[in-house]
Parts: sequence; structure tokens; C-alpha cells
Amino acid sequence: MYRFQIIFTTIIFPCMVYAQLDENILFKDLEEIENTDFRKTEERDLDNWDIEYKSDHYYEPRLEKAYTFLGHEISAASFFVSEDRKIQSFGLLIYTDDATGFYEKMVETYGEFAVCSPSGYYFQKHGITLPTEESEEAYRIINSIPVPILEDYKNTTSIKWNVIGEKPPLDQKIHLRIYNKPIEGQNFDHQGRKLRIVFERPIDD
Amino acid sequence: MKISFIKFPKLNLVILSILLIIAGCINEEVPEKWPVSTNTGIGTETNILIDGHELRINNNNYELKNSTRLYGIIVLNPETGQLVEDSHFIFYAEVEDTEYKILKAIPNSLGGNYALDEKMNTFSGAITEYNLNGDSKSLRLYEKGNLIEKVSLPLLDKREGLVDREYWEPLKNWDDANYNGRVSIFVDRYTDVYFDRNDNGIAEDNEFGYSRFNGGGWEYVEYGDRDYLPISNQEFHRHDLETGGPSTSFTHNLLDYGLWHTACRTFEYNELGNTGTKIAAVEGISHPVARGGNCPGAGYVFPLTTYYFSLPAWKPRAQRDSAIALEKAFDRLQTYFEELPCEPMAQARINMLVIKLDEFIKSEFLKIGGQASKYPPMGWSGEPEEFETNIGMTVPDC
Repeated sequence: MYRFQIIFTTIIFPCMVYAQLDENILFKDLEEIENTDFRKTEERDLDNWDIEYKSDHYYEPRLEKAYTFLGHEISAASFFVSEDRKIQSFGLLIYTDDATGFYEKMVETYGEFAVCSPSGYYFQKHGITLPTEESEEAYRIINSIPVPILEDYKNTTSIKWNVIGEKPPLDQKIHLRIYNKPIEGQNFDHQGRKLRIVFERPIDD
Repeated sequence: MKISFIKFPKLNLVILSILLIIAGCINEEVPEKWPVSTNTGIGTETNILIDGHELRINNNNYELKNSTRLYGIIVLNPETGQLVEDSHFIFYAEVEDTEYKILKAIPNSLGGNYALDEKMNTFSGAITEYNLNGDSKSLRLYEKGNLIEKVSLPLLDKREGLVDREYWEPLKNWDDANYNGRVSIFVDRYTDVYFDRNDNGIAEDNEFGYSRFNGGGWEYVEYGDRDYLPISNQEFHRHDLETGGPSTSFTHNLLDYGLWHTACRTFEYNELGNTGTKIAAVEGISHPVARGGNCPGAGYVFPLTTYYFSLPAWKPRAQRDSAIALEKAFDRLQTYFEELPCEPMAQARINMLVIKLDEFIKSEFLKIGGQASKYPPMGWSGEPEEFETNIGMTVPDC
């Protein structure tokens, strides 16, 4: 019985604590995190494209599905540390075969997007040829660009949410930006996406 | 005959030790030997040896850190990790094959009575100096060895925590007669000074400004009538980092933008003669934005112009840093668009997007030590590259 308790507290309990990796990690104690699943980045990591550029700490998945985001398994995650030893931002990487389903969960959880940059595919899909020079016709086209709806979220190059938690210390504005990229061998016609998700405390605050 | 590890348990240890020794030999790094200089110019002869990251001046050893962008060198006390307070060294260095070569060092040069020797005849750059009481500073600007500007910085008094050090920075592009724009000079971890330059050399005396840390945040102090952009904290943290100051990876956050949009192959840098700069010309930079929420709208920046990006020739990762800088400019455009007052999109707003993107691009390239201009630099000839994106690519191209 005693042995079972040890197993429970050492293996299962941490998994439960860290199952969901989201904006809350920005408010966690760094000491608590860096000696568990995150290791410090090293010189050799500079060429590792799974790590945000020059991150401080990096998560290498060790236990299957140890971390998830909105139910999606996280392939890699890394974060930056600010001067006062707080997590300033972190990025994570997930793959999904159902991008629209993913963004449905995003809207359920975080509401409507704040700002985005639609991809060339988006304009192509909506039959819009972007103008190359100024003219009245050009401005008419620009004024008629449709605002992306949920189905289009996956067809943006980047899309951003502003997240504000309800209770302290989470009641601060967090930027949540997602970069969309079709999974290797596919294009934007498919639902498969490689998603880079970055949570960040606003720097200018 | 088989050798059993069970029969000879110590054999394991012996083999392990041998392997470790071999591994240790393979991994042993040969210390980098830097040029040894005994010419200290003014004052007594001083023996200076730089070996890897160790600096030995006479019999004192210091940890040495070379900056990546500013060429500045900081002397740290190896025990406390703090900058050495009582020794004022000014190091002149030049870039040689992307390494730093020390030409000269002058210890204890308080008072600013140092002169440039023959090696420095071609020195273009800025040197900060102390007054005799060591309080206030002035900044001297040299162009090809000649003092062309001396600026008093009376407001830069000592503050708690401020480390009085001297840094210098060769002025990038300064010798390029066609160079217009702002040159930033790092004074200390809390201060930057900006000079504007036009075709005739340095602009009028009053056309410079600086930023300082007032204890609670950054404030920008400007001289003259110019409407300088406010300087954000990050730039200074960035300087801090690049000069080997306290580690603040906070600043790298600036670069935390995916490369999913701008392709590195957009930036084909070529050296421009012997100016020490390299240029990439890009045409067709455009960017769509859209916002949702309660005030939905969309905007688009026309690919109206060709941009000429200039970076120091030695700068590594030029394509990657450029792509990230452009991504950052796009990001700032998005934020600007997101925060526009809620009103129907008017033509004027769309025009503003073009102006804003231009502003952001220039600002972001300044941060990586370069310049962005709509005008080709003198002597440049070639064809601009088309702005390309990574969409549809399977791997990043840099």
C-alpha cells in the first residue's frame, strides 16, 4: 500500500498536474517547472526547428501524451524567461488532422479571434485577386475582403487571440498567436495542420 | 576464451574509464588564441593576453566577453561577476573574418586625453568618455580618425545600479556617402544615443536624442525638433544582452515569431563593394490583415515599392534575422490594425497601413543592426528579389 502511494505521487500525480499546457504556465513558478519536464536549451538547440528561436527551456516529450493543449498532444514546447525569473512567453507545437475542429475548440475556450493575416489560399478560395497598385477598383476590392469566419481560421498565416483570465493572477492580458501551416505533403485544401502556438505576456505593458 | 564481466567486475570500470578518457580527449576544446597586444598607446607598457575568454592584463585575470553586435568588450571581475570598477579600458577592435581582433587597449584613460595613434587613423566610431570627476560623460564621434562631433551628456548622471563603462561602436555604414538615417550608439546599459546622418555627414548638433532608464521605466529624451519614435524597452534589453550584460533572454522574445510567412530566400544579400555592408533588394512586400470581434474589418498593404535592406557584411544569419525582422514588422502592423478605432474602413486608413508598415520595417531593421530604405544605395546594381512566403513549403528555407 505504501509503495503504491509512492508510485502515485511520483508518477501519476505530476502527470495530472501538468496534463494541460496553456496560458496558465505563464503564472507558474519557474523552479517548479524547469527541473521536471523542461530542460535548459543548449547551443546545439539553435538548429532545432522545434524550439522557438533561442528559447531558454525546452520540453522534450518523454511520457506519451504528458502534455496536451485543448486535447491535442503537444509535440514540443519551449519558453523564454524574463529578467525576474518569470516565464515571459512559451511556444508549443501540435499537429492536427482536423483543423476546423481545433479552431471550434479555440472559439469555445477563448472566444472570437482578435486579428489575423489571411493566407494567399484564403483570397484564392474567396475568388479575390489582390490588387498590385492603387486605384478606385483596388480600394473597392480591399473594402470587400470578407472577414474570416471560423472555417477560415485555419487558412490564415497567423491568427491572434487576446486572453484575459478571470481571477488573479490570471486576470492579465495574454497574447495567444497561432501560426498555421499545412502538414507536410498537404496543402491548405486539407484539414491537416502543423500549428505553432505562442502564449506571451505583452511586452509593452 | 570469453572474458566474462561477471568474473571480472572491475573490467567494466577499466573499460569505462578508457572510454571516458577517449571521449574527454575528443571533446577537449582547443582554447582560442587571440592576438596578443603589448602596445597600450598611452601610459605604461601593459601586457595584455587574451586567451579564449580570459583576459590577462599584467598579472590580473579577467573574464572576457565580446559582444556580438557592438564589438564592445566588457571586463568582468571573475569572482564577483561584476564589471571592474577601477579600471577603465577602452578596446579598439576591428572585425576580421567575423572574429574580433584587438588592436589596442588603453587602461586608466579617465579624462579623455587619449589620442588616436596611427592605427586608428581610419577609425570611424564613437567613444564615450568621463569628465575628470568621473560623473558626467560626453561622447565623441570620429570619422576616419577625425573628431567630428563632441556631445555632452549632462543628464547622464550616476544612478544606483548604473555601471559606468565605456563602450564604443564603429558606425555602420558611416563611410557610405549615400548613407542616410540614424546611427545608434550604445553608451551603457541604460542609455542609447542616436545621431542622424545626411548626405553631408552628421546632421546639425541638435539632431540627436537618447533614452534613459529613470528607475521605473524608459523615457525618451529628444533634442531638436525631430519627431523621434518612442523607443521601446526591448531595444535596450537587447543591447544589454548583446554586450554580455546580465542575461535577459526576455529580449529574444522579440524574435519569437514563426517563420511561416516570410521566406528567407527573399533576402539575397550581396556585398556592396568595399563598404562593409551587404544589400538585399526586395520587391513586392505586401501584407493582408483582418480583425474580428465586435469590430470586424480587413485591410491590405499594396506591394508598392522595392526595399533595400542593408546589413553589416560580417553579420551572420542575415537571411534568418531579416525574415524575422520582417515578420515582426508584420506583427506590429497587425497590432496597429487591431487597435484602430472602431469605424468603417476608410481609404485613408488603408493608406495609413502602407505608411505604418514602412515605419515598422525600418524600425525592425534598425534593431538588427541594419537599415531599410526605399532608395538604392549608391553603387548598387542588380535585380530585386521577389518577396516570397513559405506557405506551401514543407521546411523552412533557412
